[in-house]
Amino acid sequence: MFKTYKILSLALSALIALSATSACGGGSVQTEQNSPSASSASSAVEASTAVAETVKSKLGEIEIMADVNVDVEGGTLNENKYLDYIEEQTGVRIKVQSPGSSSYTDKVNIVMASGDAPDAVMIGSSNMINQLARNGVLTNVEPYVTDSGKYPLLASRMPEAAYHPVSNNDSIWGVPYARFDAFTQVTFVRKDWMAKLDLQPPATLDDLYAIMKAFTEEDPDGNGIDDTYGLLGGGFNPVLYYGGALFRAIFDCNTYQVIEGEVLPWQINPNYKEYLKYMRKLADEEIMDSDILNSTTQVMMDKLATHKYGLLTNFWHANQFPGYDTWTIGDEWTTIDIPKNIKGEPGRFSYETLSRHYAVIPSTSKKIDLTMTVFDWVCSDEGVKYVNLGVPGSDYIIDEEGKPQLGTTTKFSINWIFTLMNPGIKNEDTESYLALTYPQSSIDWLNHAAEQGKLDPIAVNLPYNPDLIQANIDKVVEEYTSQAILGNIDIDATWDKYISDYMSAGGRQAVDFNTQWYNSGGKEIVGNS
Amino acid sequence: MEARRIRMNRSFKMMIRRVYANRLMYLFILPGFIWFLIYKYGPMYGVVIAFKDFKFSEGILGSAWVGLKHFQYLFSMSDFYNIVRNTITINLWNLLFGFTAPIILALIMNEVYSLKFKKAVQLAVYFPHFLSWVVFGGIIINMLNPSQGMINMAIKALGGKPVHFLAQSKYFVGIVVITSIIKEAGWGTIVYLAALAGVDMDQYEAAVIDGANRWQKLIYITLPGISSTIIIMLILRVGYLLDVGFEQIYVLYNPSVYSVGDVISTYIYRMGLQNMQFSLTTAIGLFQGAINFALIFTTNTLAKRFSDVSIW
Repeated sequence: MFKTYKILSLALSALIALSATSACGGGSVQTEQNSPSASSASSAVEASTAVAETVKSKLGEIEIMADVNVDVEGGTLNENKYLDYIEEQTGVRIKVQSPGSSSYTDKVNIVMASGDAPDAVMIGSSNMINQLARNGVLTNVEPYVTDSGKYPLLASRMPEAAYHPVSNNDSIWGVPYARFDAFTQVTFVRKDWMAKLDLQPPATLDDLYAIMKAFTEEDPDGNGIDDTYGLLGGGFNPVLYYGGALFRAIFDCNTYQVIEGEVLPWQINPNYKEYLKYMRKLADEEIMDSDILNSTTQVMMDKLATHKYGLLTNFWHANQFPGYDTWTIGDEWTTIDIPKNIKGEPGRFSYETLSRHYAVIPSTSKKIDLTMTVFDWVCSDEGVKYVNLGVPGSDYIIDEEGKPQLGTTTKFSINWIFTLMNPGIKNEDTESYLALTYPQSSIDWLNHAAEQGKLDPIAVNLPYNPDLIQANIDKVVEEYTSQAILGNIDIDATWDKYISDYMSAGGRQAVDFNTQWYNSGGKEIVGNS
Repeated sequence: MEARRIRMNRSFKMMIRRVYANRLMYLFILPGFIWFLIYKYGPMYGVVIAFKDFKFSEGILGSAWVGLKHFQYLFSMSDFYNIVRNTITINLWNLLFGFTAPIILALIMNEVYSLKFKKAVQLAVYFPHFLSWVVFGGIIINMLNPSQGMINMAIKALGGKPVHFLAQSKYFVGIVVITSIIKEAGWGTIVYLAALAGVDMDQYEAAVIDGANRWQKLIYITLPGISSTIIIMLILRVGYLLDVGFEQIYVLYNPSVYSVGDVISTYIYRMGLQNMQFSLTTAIGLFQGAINFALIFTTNTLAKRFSDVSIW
């Protein structure tokens, strides 16, 4: 018995020793990768192109955190051709942490608070980035992104305006993923239903109402059952943020406006009250599906898959519309112009930023140069091609004329996620890449979305207001908006109380801050932008 | 003084002797004790950030002291009183119905003679406990959906107008309490069934001889027999009066019922995790803990005075 215990103890000790040795071994490899030899290897890159490919792969490894919400076909999150290609091109191996889309920002907050953050992190909200910067956990990337000697492409090709939401006092706290399609939204309508019911594209709100009502009441799918809706409004938070965008454009309450000397956000614009009444009418008449509160994007897509909805506002490419074979969405859907707004002017969707998200560098990162090397490469011609088309040889091939042609793999690869940033270049080349990836109908819709959108000049230039972090404005707006649309309150009788609640939840402070900025130089900035 | 020292020495030695004599029992306690030490007491030092302006870069110890600044802000917020009121309202209704439901269910199950039927009922009422609130809440949301939910389809079939149950404040607290009972009442019966098993059978036989009917046996034997368990459970439950489970509310609520559904835990989540206001939300947590402790202390004292049953 004693002998057995002794053997077991020896075996256990050997196992522990082995683990310790391998752990130490791992550490030494890591040290080697981060050692000064990396910089000497960097010099070798310049010396010989032939040697470069070999040496580059030894530059080192960076760890990034991103919201990767789709499968990596033909690989795993950390072993795939996209990461291999970036390593081949830059010498930097990227290791990805993806905590999942659900509550992604909460997880980022926890990671940043832990003091053990990766080398670069994808963050969508500029306010969150500014708040993290105030907490002292981000690197000011200004010296890097403007260093035209070390990172010439990054310094010259990234649009300066894209940095604005994450800049203050000569500091820049993130590198943008600037969109070539910054204006993403367009209104889709069932063209087969329009034809069947002999309807014309709407020029006014009344025309639009007539179309939605006909879709709801005249059995456009011909099944003899009253089961269709004129409008699919649900999905996304805050309430009807996307679903109601078309109507906020028509009611001219989708931008900051200067009213009676104060800079007011759209949520307390007097026209917002009329918008709410209109949306309530659509819900009351069951033209809009009133299930708008617990609708996630997935629920919205499930509803769309029933083919019972006639109109919605969505991304220009529409490639996530469920239940359609590739490139057949255009057979059923087309886009329409936003009808004239209540001032008689062309309605426009409004946007507050040019960027999809930002890549921030935690102050704990010791590999900023490696990260910037990757970012600089993304701004190169090869990098832009990678972001738009993927990996040469499989995602695309170069034909005899030297032009890229679509390869054999999936059209919607996730290559772009791994770069974290993007200069958002739109030129003849990138347009030709788009033509490979999307059908002509989607390209037309993209151009339509560009015509139908505008930047909110005040929102895009407003400085960050740190005092608003404890405010509870969003809660007041969401609560009132949902209650108003669902008919739980009398809008006319409660509007003044809503404004008062908004102001006491931090809104007064925000309006005063914004107005003061506008009057002390902001007006000129807005005028010039 | 010397006598006192000798007395203390003696009692210390006796304690050591007692611990040694029961060393195996203490060994069983040890893992739990270590767990509490590491995961419950260890992190408590973090509570100091309620009195600091916590900055990630400076850490818990390095951040600047600000005294009661966060508490002053807290008590000046009108929203704070709303969330405290909502939390207490939901918990009081839960106390009234959610606490009594398992007792009634246990008493009913105790009266079932068929063992097979009893086991089938137990299986059915225990099952929802094992579903997460995400799953269970999802089922409830689908059932109450205004356009395709089972309940509203039944209302429409009967000629009624669909009701958006989850969007109306007047239904929300009721839905929270009812779903909580459906999910947890069955599991809550376990402790009462165990207590019922401990009631002396001789008393029932004596009562039958004295001519007691089933109702009288329930009132005069069963309930007094499990009263100490009920009191202990009540004391523990009262200690959670300012504590509503986060998952249930987070899954079921939506913007239109914020006025009644926003509770301390959801507020802490929103302001703490989403807005990075860790000092403020720690102050709320500390306030919550202090009130809960006061409540449990008061209830225990009252229980001790009026029933001789208490947890200390």
